[in-house]
Amino acid sequence: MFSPEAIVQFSAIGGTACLGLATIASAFGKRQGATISLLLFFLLCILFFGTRAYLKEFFPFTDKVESFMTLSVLVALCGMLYRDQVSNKEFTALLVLSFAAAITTFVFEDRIKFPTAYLRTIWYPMHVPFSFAAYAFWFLAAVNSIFASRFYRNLDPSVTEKPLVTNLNRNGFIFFTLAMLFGGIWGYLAWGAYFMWDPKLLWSVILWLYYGNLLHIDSLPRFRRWKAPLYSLGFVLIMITFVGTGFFTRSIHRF
Amino acid sequence: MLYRLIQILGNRNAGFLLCMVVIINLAIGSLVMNMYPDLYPPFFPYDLKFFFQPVEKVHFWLYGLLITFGLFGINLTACLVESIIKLITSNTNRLRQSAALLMHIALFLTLGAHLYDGFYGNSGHAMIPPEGTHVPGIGLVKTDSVVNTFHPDGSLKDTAATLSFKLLDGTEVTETLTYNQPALFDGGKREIIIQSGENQPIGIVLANKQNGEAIQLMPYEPIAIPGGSLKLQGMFQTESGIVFAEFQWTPTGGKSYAQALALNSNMQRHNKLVLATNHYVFKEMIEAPYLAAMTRYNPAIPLIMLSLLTATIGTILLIYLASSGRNQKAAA
Repeated sequence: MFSPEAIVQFSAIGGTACLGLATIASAFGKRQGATISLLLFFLLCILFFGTRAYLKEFFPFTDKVESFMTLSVLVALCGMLYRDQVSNKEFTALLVLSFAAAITTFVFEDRIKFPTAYLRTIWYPMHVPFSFAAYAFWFLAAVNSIFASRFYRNLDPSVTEKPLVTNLNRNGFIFFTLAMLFGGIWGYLAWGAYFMWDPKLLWSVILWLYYGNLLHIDSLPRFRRWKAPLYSLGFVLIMITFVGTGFFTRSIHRF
Repeated sequence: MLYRLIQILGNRNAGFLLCMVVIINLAIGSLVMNMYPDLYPPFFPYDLKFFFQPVEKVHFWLYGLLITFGLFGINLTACLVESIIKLITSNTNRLRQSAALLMHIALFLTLGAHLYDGFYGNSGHAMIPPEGTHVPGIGLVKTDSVVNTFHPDGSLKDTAATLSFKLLDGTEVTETLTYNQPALFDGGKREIIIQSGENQPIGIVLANKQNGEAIQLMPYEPIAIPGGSLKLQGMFQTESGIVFAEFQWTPTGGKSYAQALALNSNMQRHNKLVLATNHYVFKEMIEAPYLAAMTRYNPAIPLIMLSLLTATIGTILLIYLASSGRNQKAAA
């Protein structure tokens, strides 16, 4: 009745529209409306990824459309998980990020291709979603810190302590460590090296060291006042790692 | 006195700053590498030796990185020693301290392993024919078969190459390699990794049209057939994509001359050879498996395995602590 390609297109457009509605509903404080729209978005994404997996005969995380959609889903999911711990403005800001990632998928020509031989390993689908999950936690940490920075001048200790940011970072760090471990094993099996001098790998190491370092900031009174700005800067580093190295470098990870 | 020195060297504030300097150095390095594509090509050589043969100004970021990583390593080592002492002497928060300690040990081992591999490891390429080739550190390697599988759109799905090895100690083993599944030796320190594999034509089989008798022809190996001698000179492909085999035919008592045969039955005028009174047609290609492989020697694999183990245990502990913290919060 419907071709798989049509289902993919329908679910992508429908899902993004639902996400857009959720963002608008959240911006106007309509919590229930946002929740229903988000659930619809997730449902349509299951259809989107499921159909692509069927067409590709593999896990659907192998091209830029799927990468951006995965990031969008995980960012929205992370927002849902922490919804009760962040303000509505922060939640809306996260949905805006998620929506931006989803809408970006329409910029690219969507040619559903079979994955290359190198990608056909269990390590790849474990590596990619885990790193995107880490990005999602760190995005929320950045959003939380950016909003905190607005009040930062008052030097409110509750802002500088920000246990939520540390928790988010710890969760992101766990996911990113797992992503690095899986990626390292995959690299060893596929290219004989867990690390190569490649921009994407360098920036992944940068991210891991950066956020690992930030985990210590709570116990360093001298640097604690830099906590919110440094977590906010993390957003830029993630964008360089994900978008910068993916589009503007000669990386073998280039999209 | 010694403990005081450890505390000074392992100063947390200095460690935080040094880590940030390492990050800045790595970021500069990525920019420099991107600016000099001739010096730092994709699939850049893994070993650090490259940066010292010769020493060049453009590698300043790497030298800076080694210095800052070195200082960071000293700080990390002192921190580790101090943390171990604290862990032994303290009675509270031991699980949390252990998780952090394991993650730091993993980082320390990874840095050490990379330094060791960078200077003492090596990588190379090998073309492995059916008759075999000698791979340093492993022995004689032969390609027995190569099977390529394809997706419905014609793109490569995977390659399965069966290799037989005669190792340096005389042991004979057979391994099947695919993409993401290399042949591992010496506890994983030595690897043979598929780059590409294919069956290359090395000869052809002709059939006598009258009696069906088949003759095998290998390049430059003349074969006596009724009426003379036939030698395969080679194969070539025309611009239109048709493959021809070129022969040298020497009739008994006569002069040699060239003959060509289209290896395509639809080419009506060129799909048979007329030699003396016999007609020969193309029957099949004789192929041999060849594998282009990458060889790798990484002496730091045991260190990396240890690092992997400590990072995994550390991560599991972190997950446990995160979930137990959440449960306590929920209970409160």
